Amino acid sequence: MRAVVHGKATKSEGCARINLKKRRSQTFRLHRLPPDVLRVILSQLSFKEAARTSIVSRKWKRLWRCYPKLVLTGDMMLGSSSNAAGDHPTSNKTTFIRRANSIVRQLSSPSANHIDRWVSLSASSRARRIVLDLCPELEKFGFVSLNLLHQLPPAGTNTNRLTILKKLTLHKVSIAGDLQSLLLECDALEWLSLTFCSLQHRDLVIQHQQPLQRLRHLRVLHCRLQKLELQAPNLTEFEFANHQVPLVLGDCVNMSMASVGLLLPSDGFDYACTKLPFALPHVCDRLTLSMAIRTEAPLLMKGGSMFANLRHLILNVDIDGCPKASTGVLRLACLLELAPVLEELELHMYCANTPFYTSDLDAAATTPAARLHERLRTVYMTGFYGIRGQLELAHRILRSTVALDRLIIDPTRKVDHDFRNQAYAGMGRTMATLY
Amino acid sequence: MAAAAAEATIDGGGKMIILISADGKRFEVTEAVASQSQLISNMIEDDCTENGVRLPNVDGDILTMVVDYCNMHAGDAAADGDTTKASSTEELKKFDAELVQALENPVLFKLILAANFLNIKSLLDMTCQRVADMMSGKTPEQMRETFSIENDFTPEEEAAIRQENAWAFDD
Repeated sequence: MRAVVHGKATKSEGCARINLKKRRSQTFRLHRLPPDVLRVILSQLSFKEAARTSIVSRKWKRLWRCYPKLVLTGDMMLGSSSNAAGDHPTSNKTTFIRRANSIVRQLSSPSANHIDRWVSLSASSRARRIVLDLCPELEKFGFVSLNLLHQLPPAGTNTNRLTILKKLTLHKVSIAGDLQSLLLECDALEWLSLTFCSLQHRDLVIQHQQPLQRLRHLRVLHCRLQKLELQAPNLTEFEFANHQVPLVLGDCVNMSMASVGLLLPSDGFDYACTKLPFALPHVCDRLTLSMAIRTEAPLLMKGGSMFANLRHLILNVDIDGCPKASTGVLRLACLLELAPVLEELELHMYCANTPFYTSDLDAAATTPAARLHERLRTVYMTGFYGIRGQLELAHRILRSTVALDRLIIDPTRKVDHDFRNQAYAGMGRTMATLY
Repeated sequence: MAAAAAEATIDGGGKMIILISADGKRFEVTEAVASQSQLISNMIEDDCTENGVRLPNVDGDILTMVVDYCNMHAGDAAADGDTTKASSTEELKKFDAELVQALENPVLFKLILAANFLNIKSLLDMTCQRVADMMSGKTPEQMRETFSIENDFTPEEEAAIRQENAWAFDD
């Protein structure tokens, strides 16, 4: 069937060619090739070169508009004119927008706002991947404000163009509008990443009735949320960096890896011990937990849910507070009791204070846990200066395990620096908005 | 006769197929060779190759090149894990390069047309790439010259297009 259709398409031209064969064999020219073929040729040029062919002749004027991969970069769009404009960022930005608009206008249907138009072009041409990187030199500029959510068709209208969206990544985007409704439109969404975004209503709540069935990977970092509550039953990976806020993910039984960073400086132990096991009860392969603790916090074990399947725990801990106190550090041993099948513990510590050495250990350190660890084989402690809390913790772990192969104690600091930097940057931003 | 030939088989090659060019030249190829053309592959599937496949759009001299190309590339898809493959890949590259480099423009364009009609993707890509290489780095004026394209714009129209796509022209 396909062969017949294909044959038909070029048949008339084939007949014409046979009639004119003798004459044409001398003069068979490029522009006699069918438009489809010319488009294949153009697709092998750079976008800029393809666009230049618009001026060759009438036949060529529109051919480049079917270029399969649309990449608009500042370098390409501004070219030498960016120097002519004296590198003035505003005028470059205006030129970029004007030129991108001109391209998009030629390529697509009319629409209102420029970003809306770019996005709706991408959506209507069923682009598999849409990247809007509006400030490539990100760190120099502030936030980008994106209002693209307004142009979405209201729920229930005939064609929902976001049903094919599988991956959505927003970085440093100030999101005006209702992200919740947007996400509910995205039936096929498998990957969602929101990093350094600011949401209009600080909460990201997806109702119980409409779970995100396909969502496998969720990353929400430094978005200053006040609440994260969604139903994503098939989530396998979760990354979260935020203050200690209510966290509900539904019953994610397939959760393989999770990473939770609790922004400094407040003590994160209670949250990690009582709230996280409820939010991530099924995490099995690896849990990375980054937080600050204070040495003087009392040693109180709070019961509740557990990480029943967790095999590998990585703790990045900032230790602060009175150097003589130790109970705050010793509490970390209690986390182990929440993970009965844990096999490997990595504990990366960073002590802000001058170490205080003592040989006088807290009684709790020398008392074994009520239930001994049967699976824990490897413990790797870094940033170990021998301060009281650390010594007590090491003692406690040694006495509470039966299957331990190795306890590695390393004085070098291996706390995830990126986490520390980002955490302090987050703190700075919060301060700046407060005052 | 053709039918009899089409039924014939050669050792290990499977069924033979007769391709007939616009000027009546006949080419006998194995199914494996002919199947690189999606058009012919579909015809084989539909079982309509018994009396030979007439290709009224393709001249004999062009079809000779196409058949040569397909013969060279026949092992391509089939022979994974073949130990001689590394050297034959080199040979193929050399063969392909020589095939397109030597062609006069009109012949190249006819070969493109044939590759498109027969739907042989690798040949179409390769020949189109050759044309793209010839276009690359040229000004619109040079493109017109190279490919004998007549400028049918008025000066005003040309200026308007340059204005509209200024970004593509300003360096």
